[in-house]
Amino acid sequence: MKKIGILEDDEAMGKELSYYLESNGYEARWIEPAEYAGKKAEELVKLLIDENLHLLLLDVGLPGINGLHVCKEFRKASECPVIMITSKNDDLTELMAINNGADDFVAKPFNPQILIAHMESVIKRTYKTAVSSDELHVIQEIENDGEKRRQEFTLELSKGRVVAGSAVELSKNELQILKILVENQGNIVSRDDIMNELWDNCMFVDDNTLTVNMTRLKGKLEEIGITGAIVTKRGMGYQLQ
Amino acid sequence: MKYGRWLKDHGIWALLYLFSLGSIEIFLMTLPNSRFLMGYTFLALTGCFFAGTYYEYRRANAYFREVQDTMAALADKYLFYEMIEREETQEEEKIKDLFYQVETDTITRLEELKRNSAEYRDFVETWVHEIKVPIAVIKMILANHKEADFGISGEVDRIEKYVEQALFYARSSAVSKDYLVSATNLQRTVEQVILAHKRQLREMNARMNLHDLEQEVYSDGKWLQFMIGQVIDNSIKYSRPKDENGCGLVLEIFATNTENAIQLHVRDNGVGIKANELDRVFDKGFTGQNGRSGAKSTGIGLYLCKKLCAKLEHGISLTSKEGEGTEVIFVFPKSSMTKVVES
Repeated sequence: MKKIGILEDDEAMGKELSYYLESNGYEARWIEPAEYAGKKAEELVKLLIDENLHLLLLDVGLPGINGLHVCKEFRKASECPVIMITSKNDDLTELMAINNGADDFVAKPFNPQILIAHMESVIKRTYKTAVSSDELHVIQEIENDGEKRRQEFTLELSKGRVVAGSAVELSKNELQILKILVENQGNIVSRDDIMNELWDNCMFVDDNTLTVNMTRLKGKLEEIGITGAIVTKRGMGYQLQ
Repeated sequence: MKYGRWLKDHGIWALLYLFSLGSIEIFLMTLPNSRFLMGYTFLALTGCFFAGTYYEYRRANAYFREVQDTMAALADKYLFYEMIEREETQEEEKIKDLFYQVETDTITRLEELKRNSAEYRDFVETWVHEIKVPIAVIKMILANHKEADFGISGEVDRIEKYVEQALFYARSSAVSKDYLVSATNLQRTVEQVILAHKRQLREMNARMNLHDLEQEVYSDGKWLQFMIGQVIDNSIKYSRPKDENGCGLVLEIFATNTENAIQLHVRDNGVGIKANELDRVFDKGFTGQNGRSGAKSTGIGLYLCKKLCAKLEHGISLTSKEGEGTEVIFVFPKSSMTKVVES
């Protein structure tokens, strides 16, 4: 579990953010203003280093301390990535954040899902070895008219194709859809959830396009002999068995 | 200035002239054989009178003509005092003094206004940053307690948008320059805007058609995002009822690259704008027929776009057909790009 440090002076924000990160599978450590009240930036940096964080969420406007300065000093002393959070959403602030060593910049008020997306991409970049593998291997047991059969295929994300003996290329949308289904193998994923995730990845599909993509995806899987892999649950969504 | 009018204004001289002429003539009449003297006196006095007054008239006329020309050539009229060079007569000196008072007073007031407007802008800027904190907290709380939403997140999004509008309104009328022009990728910028409008666009099952956006323009990324956001807001507001496929809006966003400029097109299939209202869409407070019936419009969005575009040296134009849709085009001139690169 990745340990995320939150340096944020607003109490409600600190608490809610910690809670949100924890319910999303991170260990959150909110460093309360009381812990560094009256201290200098250097002492705060030392405190941060002792926490052994995997990622620091840093608010630019801290009481009595310049967040940019903290970022710079912390970056000098530690390899831990930093995401700057600020309510001052302009290009100049963003540039200054990056110049002071921040890895990313998120403007308040942010969409929590988008913050997670930023965090994931920074973590992925920093801790390359820990990234989940680029290939997703799927084993299915399908029951059809009382007959059980087994089929396997591999989803190669960077190559954008599915391999099961022979290979078939998938479009960007199809790849993302299949990835979502594979990650939720066995569960029903609603159309709404699929679309939400596609939109968050900047694939802006509407209802019709999703239906078309789905039909094509099934067709392509059948081309390489994978049949019945995705089941449509009417009114609920799709399921990869 | 006209001589006749000048003479009328200085009527006292004419009166004195007539009086002295009359007195002398009457005195001469009492003398014998004075006919020649009378004639001479009349001609001499009349000649002197007209020569003298005409000379004075010419002088005054020349002065005012010079002063008027100076004034006409001056952009900031209140700085007139600095430009008057002539102060030969006492009157001319006095006039110059008066203009000095006008100038100092105007400058003091202007400075005060500038300071006030800068202070107000700073206040709005600070206020906006402060209000964003509780908005962010509300969003966090809602993300942690999805069951307690009851549509609050949609309303919070709306508050956020109005707050953003206030910020950019203050920025648009500020004298100082608070933007940063740099190479900005259109694809990423547009994607950010669409993500910010995700909820509404998803609700109306909008069909997005983004293409040819891999272009770089010289602009301020955040300002551009705001402007495109205003245009998409309008597309959402002025959309037509959902069609038979359940699609409420078709939004096509693409860039074209011409010899002189890169253009960003945002095209929708909404209700469009009446032809006779087209030339007023960028006016402040203008909402048009469709806007007034919708009751959601403030008439600020496009007005702000125009002002911000002017600051960034971008062009903006709008074409529309009632019942078919609207297209807004942002124009990024290539000449201003080279200027940035060189500087």
